[in-house]
Amino acid sequence: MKEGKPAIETHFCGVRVQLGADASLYLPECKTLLVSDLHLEKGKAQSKAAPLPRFDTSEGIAKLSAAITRTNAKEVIFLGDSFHTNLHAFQLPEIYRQQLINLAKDRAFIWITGNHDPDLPEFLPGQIVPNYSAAGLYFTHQIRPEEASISGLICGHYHPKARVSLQIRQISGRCFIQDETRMIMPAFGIFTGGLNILDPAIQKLLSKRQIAHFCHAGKIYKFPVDRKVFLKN
Amino acid sequence: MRLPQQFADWFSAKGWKPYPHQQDIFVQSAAGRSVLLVAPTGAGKTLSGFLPSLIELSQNPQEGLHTLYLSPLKALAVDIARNLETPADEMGLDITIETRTGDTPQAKRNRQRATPPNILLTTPESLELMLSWSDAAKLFGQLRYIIIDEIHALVGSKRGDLLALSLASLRHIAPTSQSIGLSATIAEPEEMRCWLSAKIDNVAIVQPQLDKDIQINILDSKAAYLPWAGHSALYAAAEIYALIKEKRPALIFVNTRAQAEMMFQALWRENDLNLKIGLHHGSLDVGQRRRIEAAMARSELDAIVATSSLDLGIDWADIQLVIQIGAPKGTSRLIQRVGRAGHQLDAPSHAVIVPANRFEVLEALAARLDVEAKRLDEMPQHAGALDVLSQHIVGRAVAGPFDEDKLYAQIITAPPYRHLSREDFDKVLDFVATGGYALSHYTQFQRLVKGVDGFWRLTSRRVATRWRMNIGTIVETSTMKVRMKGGAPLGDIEEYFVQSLTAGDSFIFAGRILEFVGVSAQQAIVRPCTAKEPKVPAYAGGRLPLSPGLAARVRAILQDRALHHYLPKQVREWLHLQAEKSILPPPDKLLVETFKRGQKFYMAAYGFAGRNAHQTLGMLLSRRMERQGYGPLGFVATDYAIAIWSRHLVTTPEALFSSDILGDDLEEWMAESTMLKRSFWQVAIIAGLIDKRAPGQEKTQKQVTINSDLIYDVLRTHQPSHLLLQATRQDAARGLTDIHRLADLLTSFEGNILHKNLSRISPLSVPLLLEVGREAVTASAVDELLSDLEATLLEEAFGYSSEEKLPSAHQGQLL
Repeated sequence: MKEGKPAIETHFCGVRVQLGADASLYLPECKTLLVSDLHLEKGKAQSKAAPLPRFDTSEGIAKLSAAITRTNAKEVIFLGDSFHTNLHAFQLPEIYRQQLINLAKDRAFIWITGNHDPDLPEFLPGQIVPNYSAAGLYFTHQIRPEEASISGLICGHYHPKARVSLQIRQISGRCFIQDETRMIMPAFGIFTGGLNILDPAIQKLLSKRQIAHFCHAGKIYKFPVDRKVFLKN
Repeated sequence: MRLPQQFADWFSAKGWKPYPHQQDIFVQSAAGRSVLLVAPTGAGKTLSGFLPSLIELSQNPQEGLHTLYLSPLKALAVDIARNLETPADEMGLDITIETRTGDTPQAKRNRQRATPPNILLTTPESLELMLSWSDAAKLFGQLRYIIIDEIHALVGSKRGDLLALSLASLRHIAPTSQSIGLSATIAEPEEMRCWLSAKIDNVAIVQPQLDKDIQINILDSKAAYLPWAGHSALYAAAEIYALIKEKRPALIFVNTRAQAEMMFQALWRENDLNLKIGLHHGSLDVGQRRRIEAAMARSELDAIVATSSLDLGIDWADIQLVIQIGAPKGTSRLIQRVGRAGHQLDAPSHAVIVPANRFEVLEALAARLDVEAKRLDEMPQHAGALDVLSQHIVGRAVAGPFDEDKLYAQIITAPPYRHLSREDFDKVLDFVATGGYALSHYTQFQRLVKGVDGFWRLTSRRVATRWRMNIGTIVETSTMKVRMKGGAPLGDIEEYFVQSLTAGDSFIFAGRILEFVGVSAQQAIVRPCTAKEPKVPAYAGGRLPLSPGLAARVRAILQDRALHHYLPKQVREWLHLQAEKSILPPPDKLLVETFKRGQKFYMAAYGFAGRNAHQTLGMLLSRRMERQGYGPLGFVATDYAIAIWSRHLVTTPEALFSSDILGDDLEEWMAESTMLKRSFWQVAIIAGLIDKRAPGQEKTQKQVTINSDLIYDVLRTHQPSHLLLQATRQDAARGLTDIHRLADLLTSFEGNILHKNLSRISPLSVPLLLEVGREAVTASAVDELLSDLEATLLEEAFGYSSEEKLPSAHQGQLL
């Protein structure tokens, strides 16, 4: 009887990484936790356009806190789009500011800017940067032309997800997708949609040999992508 | 009292005699009473309903709306209007008759508002809309008659709830109106009087004693092998074809759209005489359905394979035979279907039931005995849905400012809401006004506000616009139009099924074998092909659970050996073997069998509580077994029983089947169930929290569903008592999860379990286990499947399994 695991340890460009079913990535060598696309305050930001409830920010921070507790990370890197809009980042309610500050007490926070949050407020704990490097890997939100040749790059932005067909039903979940030199992380946020990993926007970034780590119901599974496992829709 | 001369002459010119019940209706309504006419199909019901109106209008021609006719089907309203114009014209009556549905052009609708016809035929949704007009009181003020057709089809559903609420408002502004309800044969007509007037003593029941002879046979198949499982009855296609050849035209009723497509194909394969056989189901293009109906009315067809899409509606005069494929699921429905044959009241109705598997043979016999004994299904008890009430309350505010006490008093005159407490009403009103505590920060959920005068009114005109766009209780599942390449639309198909297709795949639909070309402009484009093994589309819903009455009969038949000689030999032998190897399910105990097969341990329980209740039981049992370490792997639920398999043997099932399983386990399961989330989505749309998909809107239904899922999760976490969660639970309890029936099952058998531990599979459980492949699986089984897939694919792709550690030299290169 086989069972999935809550996290899978693997290697990316020679670096040991642990991919979590909660869509986080942990580098045990340097005790660094990576999360991407939190889209905090999306509920509030979209409250006029699409009715979303307003608890997403507290749930997103709670999820982050759980990941930090689980890994006991010394450094947390946010891969961009941590906030749904610049405006809502600057207007972040005091209670959430305090929660973030508390979380950053014993560790360094690195905020990489994204297309949703190109400017981030000073009151956030830690540093605000356009990109970052650690453990021989390079982190950015979205691959810019000048970053195209970088090997060992981890980015976010695309919210990759996948549909898998089992004999009995189809299931979908967030997905890490990678080739030999690049990895795209799934969105960590609560109210984030996703883009199918087979979508050309993702496929054009990667070589033929791809591996997906598929998250479902608190477990994570590893699949090669060049198979008829994944569905287009 | 006699019919006016003009009418008597018309009847005799036609060579007809008015039925006594037509006379009765006229007499009762002339005496100022409301009337409930209970009669089978073919009793001239619809014309009867209109007689009082036509007579009154012929004697006192008048301007303005005199009679409102409400039908559950748009198409029915249109057909009835046409049928009504004939007698009106032939008698030279000066009466205006018009229809108004969602399809009526805007210009005509505007005109109808300014100059209403004498008789307006419409649907419950259109009525609710018209009642929101500021001039509704003027429009309906002089209304004399409200005719409600096929009332039995509306009672017990959300559309019925909406209709009941509309009627309460309507009667308030049309105090001198009388109602005439038309219903198929039902078990307790007295219970339905409250739908026709708040004063039930003033409602007369007209129920002609029509001893229509119904002859039901069960196909005694010569097939060497009666299937153990499955629902398609394809094994009997040749025999069904022989029946059609002998007696036609025939109506062939099946239970689901997929079965309709498969049976249609199978019959055409047998069709050596080239009989004209048509297909009719709810997913086919409306134009195509109308053409089939018209061809049948002109007697051009020999047979139609149909689903419940033909359960309601116009009668055809000359159906010779009704064939029910598969289990009838309920006696009332069977009688309704069978009544289609031998349309004239004095002609006998012939019907043949074709059971698709062995359990269905028992069910067919039970139904036949029930029909012969005239035992009808009881109408389900039903408390009005709260999401529908929310919609109605907004509608009341659209009509104008309202006083909450007066509105409450009006609402509790609507039958489904007669037991609505003031507390629940206030809760609904609060939800409509503020969105409920958890959502109260969003202005778009604040739809009503109480003025200093104490009256509730809309917060903005936008609320009215949104309400008009989202009116109604039918939330479409997400479907895609199927269109022939460069040709006509064929109908709609589940989006989910389209997603599973790749170009070149073939499937059967609309009676043809089609090749999927691709999706273009949100339509599935297809072309004809001749594939050998086409797929059969999946359709959401469709399968009705076995009715409680019929279930009780099936149990009784199992015990009553005197009845066993009615059963085919193969079924008799099967039951005999069961009695020998295990035991036949007793009437007063729940039989639970356990046995080992292969590496797995099986537990089968024969609850006879219907598929939905068994499905829920399966979910709950597997959670409980998971917690107790039995390692459940999957289960399969049918109308009759449930089988669940696990890694370890269940030694004391008594501990599993206790009614406290409906407590925490149920709550936990509901939190995660996608089924419940889907129900919540529908509730949220009906209650006006989220919008229906507007035409041309790009967002796919999938995305909308995701949004409602998020709201669902948030409400569960932050306000479990939120009105919409309450409404979702209410829905689930009677529909998808059938918790009421499950609760009945568990409480009546608590501590009353007959456990048989067997050395091998029992005969009665064979059909169940053959359903495997259609089963629901537990969370741990999904996990297992994913893990297996992971291992297999990694092995194939890279020659290692996920279990093994990679050799370290390999790691860097290989990702």
